[in-house]
Amino acid sequence: MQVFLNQTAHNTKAARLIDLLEEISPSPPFAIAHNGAFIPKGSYMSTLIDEGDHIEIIAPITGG
Amino acid sequence: MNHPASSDHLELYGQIFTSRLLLGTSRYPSPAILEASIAISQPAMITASLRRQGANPEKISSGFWELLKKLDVPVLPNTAGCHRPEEVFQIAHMAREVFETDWIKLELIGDDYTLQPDTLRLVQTAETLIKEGFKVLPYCTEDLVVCQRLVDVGCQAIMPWAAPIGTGKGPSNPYGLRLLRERITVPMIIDAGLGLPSHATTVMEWGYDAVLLNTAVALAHDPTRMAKAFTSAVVAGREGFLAGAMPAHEQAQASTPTLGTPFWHQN
Repeated sequence: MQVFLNQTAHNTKAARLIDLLEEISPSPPFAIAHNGAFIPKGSYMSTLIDEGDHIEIIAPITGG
Repeated sequence: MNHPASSDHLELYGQIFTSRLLLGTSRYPSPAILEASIAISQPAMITASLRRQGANPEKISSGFWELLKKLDVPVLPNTAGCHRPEEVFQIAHMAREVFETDWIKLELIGDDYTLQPDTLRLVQTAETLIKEGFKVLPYCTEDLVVCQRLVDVGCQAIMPWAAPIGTGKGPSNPYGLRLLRERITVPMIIDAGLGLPSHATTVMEWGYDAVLLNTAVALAHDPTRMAKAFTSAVVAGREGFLAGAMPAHEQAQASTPTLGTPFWHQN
């Protein structure tokens, strides 16, 4: 199925968020938003992925 | 450099800080200059933000996390760029997880041209974050009633602007800021709009507790030197406030005694 990672299309067979993250291995640290909602680390395993879902991988940057 | 009395510390949400300078980490020419600027100014906190991984074009973003770990200075995550309370809540929770801190610099933008905070929704947003356990430092204007309401909902410190973010204009409403200082008793940090060390000294002389700045240092010709200058300026302003200024007079008053002046009234 196709999902969107940081607005870019990505094909995956992952059924859960934790499977998707293992597949793409983002550089830590990061936080995840799934369809616009923050997903705490403890919920990665129970979060299911569906066709067309938007996954945002959020990382620290400089700021004022 | 003279340091304030050791008992004079900045206290925010019960935490003691030895510095009264908070420094932003954005727009520096290089990671090395950012690191040197932080090292020389020893700020109470440094600000940081969150964006999509790989989306930030700034060269400095590469290795930023490693630099934060190396510096070991408390991090104040911000909610920069948020225009809706819902966005703020998402970013705040992400920041808490990523940076492992309850501190949050609440930025809720109401106008893109001036980056003026949305003061109408700021208070309720701050209240929600405080109920969720965040230590909220809200970026606000010098509006007295808004600031009072922020205190009423539990903000133990607030951060009024001096002027719009990144302008470097210095305090644009001295009367309003001085009046605000008289009326608000919680610690107040001047956030945004400072451009010169003298701006920092001025607001500290008015009794503000700290300053938060970024662009004034990052875009200086020599950022590290400017970081040092602001550090001294903040200390000078604080010392001046604690010392208590003389009352201003309209008429000149000779400093040197006139009694016994030679030749006085002899002609």
